Amino acid sequence: MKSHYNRKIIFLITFLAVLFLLQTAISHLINNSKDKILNYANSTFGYSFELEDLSFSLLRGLHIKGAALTRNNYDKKIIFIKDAFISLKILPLFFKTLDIKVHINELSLFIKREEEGINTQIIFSEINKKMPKHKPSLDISIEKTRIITGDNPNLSIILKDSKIRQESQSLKMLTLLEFDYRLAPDSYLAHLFSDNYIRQTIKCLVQAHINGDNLHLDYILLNIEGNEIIGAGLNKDFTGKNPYLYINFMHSMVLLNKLTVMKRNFKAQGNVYFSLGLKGRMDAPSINISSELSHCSFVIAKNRLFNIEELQGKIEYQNNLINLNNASLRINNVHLNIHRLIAGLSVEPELKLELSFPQEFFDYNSLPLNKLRVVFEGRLKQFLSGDLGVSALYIRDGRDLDMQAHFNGINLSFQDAEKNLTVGSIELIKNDDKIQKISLRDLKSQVYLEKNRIDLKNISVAAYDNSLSGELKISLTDPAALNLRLKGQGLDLKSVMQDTNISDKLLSGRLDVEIVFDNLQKEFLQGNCYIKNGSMDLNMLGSIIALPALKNTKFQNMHADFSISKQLVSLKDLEMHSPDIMLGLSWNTNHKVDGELKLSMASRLLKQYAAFKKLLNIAKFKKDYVDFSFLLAGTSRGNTRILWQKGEFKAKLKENLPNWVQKRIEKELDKIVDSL
Amino acid sequence: MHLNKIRFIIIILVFFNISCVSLTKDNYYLDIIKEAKSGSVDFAFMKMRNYLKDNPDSKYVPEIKFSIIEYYFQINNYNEAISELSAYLNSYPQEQNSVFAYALLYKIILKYKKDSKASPGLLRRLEDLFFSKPLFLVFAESKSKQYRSALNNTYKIVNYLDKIEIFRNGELFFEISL
Repeated sequence: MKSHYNRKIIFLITFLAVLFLLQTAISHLINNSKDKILNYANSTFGYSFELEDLSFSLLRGLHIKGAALTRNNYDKKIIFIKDAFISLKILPLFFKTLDIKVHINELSLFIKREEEGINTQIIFSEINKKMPKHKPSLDISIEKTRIITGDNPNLSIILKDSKIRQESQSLKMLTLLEFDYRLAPDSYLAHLFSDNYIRQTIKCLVQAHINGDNLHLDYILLNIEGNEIIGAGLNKDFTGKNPYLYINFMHSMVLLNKLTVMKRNFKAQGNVYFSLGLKGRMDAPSINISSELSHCSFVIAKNRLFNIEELQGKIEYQNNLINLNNASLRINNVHLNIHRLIAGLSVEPELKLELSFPQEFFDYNSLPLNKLRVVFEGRLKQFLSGDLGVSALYIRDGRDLDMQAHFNGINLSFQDAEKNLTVGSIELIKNDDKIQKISLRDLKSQVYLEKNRIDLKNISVAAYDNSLSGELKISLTDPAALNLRLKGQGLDLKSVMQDTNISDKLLSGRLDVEIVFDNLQKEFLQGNCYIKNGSMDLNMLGSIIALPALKNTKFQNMHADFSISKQLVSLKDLEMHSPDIMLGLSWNTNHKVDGELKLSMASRLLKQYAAFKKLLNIAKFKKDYVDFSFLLAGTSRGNTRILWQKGEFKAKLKENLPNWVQKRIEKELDKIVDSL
Repeated sequence: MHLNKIRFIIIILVFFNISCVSLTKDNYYLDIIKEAKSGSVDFAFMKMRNYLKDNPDSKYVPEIKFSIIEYYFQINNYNEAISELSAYLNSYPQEQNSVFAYALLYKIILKYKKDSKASPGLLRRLEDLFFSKPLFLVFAESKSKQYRSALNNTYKIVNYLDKIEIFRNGELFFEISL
C-alpha cells in the first residue's frame, strides 16, 4: 500500500519536473525566437513591434510583457500591452477548432486623428488585410484599457474589465467605460461646473455580427448608473481605414439624480427623455442628441450662483452646439421663458440667447409691463462679448408703449472676481406716437455678481458732449428690484432734446440731471434737472394767446423736478428765469392732463406789440410786469384745454372791455385754436 | 320817404323771391320738418327715406341722415342706429353736427355697458374724441354750441375746462369729465 503511494508521489514529481522542463524549454525556445517573431511581424505587417519579454507558462500560455507597436516613421507608441497571456483552449481542438484566449492586464491605446482616419483603426485595417481570412475564435479579456487621445489631452477614457468574445461571425463585448474630461480652468464651462472634471461611468454591452465588410451592431445597451439606454447600428466597412458609423439609441428616460456627473456638478434632479444618434466617418462622426427636459433642477456655477428649477423644454446637441428651445424655468425663483439658447462647446463658443419673462412675473412684482424680452448674441472668449437687445411693452394709460434698449459691443470679463464691463454704445428707445431715445457711448463699470443680486458699480458713460455716472442694483429676491442712480453734468441740451423728443422748444443750454429709478417705489422714476444759460422758443404761447413772438428767449436758469408713477407722469415746479419772462409750470399726465402755467412778462416787452399795447392801455395797466395764470387740462393724446385764471390784468380787461369786444376776442381766439 | 318805401318793397320782393325759390326747391324737406314738429316722427322718417332716395346729392343729406339715426335711437333700434352712425361718421367726419352723432353713439354704448356688452376701451376712446379739440377760455368759464335737427330735437354741447356736458331737448343727455 505504501509503495503504491510512493509510486504516485514519484510519478507526480516526475510529471511536474517534466512539465517544468518543458515549460522552461518552450520559454527558452520562444525567447530565443523573439527577434525572429518580431522581424517576421515587422516585415509582414509593416509596423514596428517591440517586445520586452516573451515566456511560456503551461497554465496560462504565452506570456507577453511590454509589447508595443509603433509606426515605422514615428517614435511614439500607438498600442502598448503591459502584460498579456495568450493560450489555446484545449477542448475545441478536439473539434478541430482554434479557440484562442487572450488576457491582457493593461492595454494602452494612443489615439490620434490622421489624414485618413484614426490611427488605431488604420493599423487594424492594414493588419487585418494581411491576416488569414479564416480567423480563430477569440476570447479576450482586458482588465484595463487606457485610451489616450492626442487631440485632446484633457480627455481620458478607461475601459475596465472588458470581455470580448468573437466566434465565427458574431461578436460580443462587455465593458465598463470610465469617462473623464478635465475642463480647462479658463474655459467658461469650468465656471459652470462645480468640479473641474466631467466624470461618468457607463456599463456597455454590445452584440454584433459580421456580414461581409459590415459590422452590424444588433444590440447596444448602455447602463448609466441604473439608467438603461438601448441602441443599435452599423459599422460600415469596419475593416476599412475610416469606417462609416450609424448608431441610434432609442428614446429613453434618464433620471438626472442617478448620474454622477449631474449630481456632483449641478445637484441635478428631474427626468430627461432623450434619443442619441451618431452618424458619419469614424474620425469625425456627428453626434445628435435630442431630449425633452421635464421638471429638472440644477444648481449652476462654482459658487452655486444660479438655482434653476422647473426647467422644461427641448434641448438638442448637434455640430458641437447645444440648442435649447421653448423652455420654461425658474432661475433663483424668477420665472423665465427661454425661446432659444444656442451655446457652443468650442474654445471660443458662440452664444445666442432669447428669453422673456412670463406675465406671472409682472403680476407678482406689480410691474406695469406686458412684455419683456431679452436677446443676446455673442461669443465667449476671455470675455463675454456681444450685443444685447431688450424690448418691453410698458403699459401706460391703458395702452402698450414699445420700449427698446440696445447694448452693442458688450465686453464682460466674467472670470475675474471684479468683473469689468464695457459697452460700446447704448440706445434706449421709446416708440410711441413719436420716437424718443437716449444715446450713450463707452460705458465702463464693475459688475459684482452674487446669488440673486447683480450690482453695477462705478458706472461711467459718455453722453451728449459730457458724461453720466452712477450705479445699478438688481435684486432677484421677492419682489424683484431694480435700482438705478444716474447723474450727469453739463450735457448738451440741444442734442438731448433732439434725441428725447420731449420738446423742440428748448433750444440750447447745459443740462445737469439726476435720475433715480426704483421699481419698488410708487414713483418709480424720479429726478430733477437744472439748465444753465439756455434759450427757449416761447412762440408757442404767442400762437395761442397772442403774446409776442419770442422765438429765442434767453434764460439764466431753469429747474424742474419730474417723476413717473404707474398712474402719473409729473413735472413739478418748473421754473424759468430771464430778465423779461418768469415762467412756472406744473404738469401731470396720466390718462388726463392737468397743470398750471404761471407767466410773468415785462410790460415793456408786451408793449412792443400793437395789440397788447392797446389792451394794456384799455386795461389801464401800469405795472412793470403782467402776471398771467393758466389752468391746463386735456387728455394725454388730445389737445390742451386752457383757462385763463382770474388776475389783475384779466379783471381790468373785463372791467374796461365791452361784452361784445370780449366775445369778439373769444371768437377770434377760437378761430386760431381751431386752426391749430 | 318815397325812396325808402321803394327800397323796402325791393328788399321784401328779393327776400320773398329767395324764399319762394328755396320753398319750391326743398318743399319736401320742409314737409319733413313739419311732420316732425307735429309729432309724427314715423311719417317724418318715411319721408326722409324717400327724400334720400330722390335727392342723393342734396345739401340736406347729412342732416337727414343724422335724423334717421335719431329716429332709430328714439325707437331703441340701436343695431340700426349704430350701423347708420358708422356710415354717417365715415362719410361726414367734419360735419358740424358730427359731435352730436358721436354723442348718440356714446349714449348707445352707455346703454350697452349696462348690459355689460360694451368694452370700456371704446367709451374711453370716444371720451378722448370729445376732448380732442383744443379749447381756450379767456373771459368765459365755458363755451357752447347748439344744433336743431330735422326731427326737431335740440342738441347743445357745453365745453368746460375739465368736463363736457351734452344736452338733448334741454335735458342733460350725459356728462363726461377728464
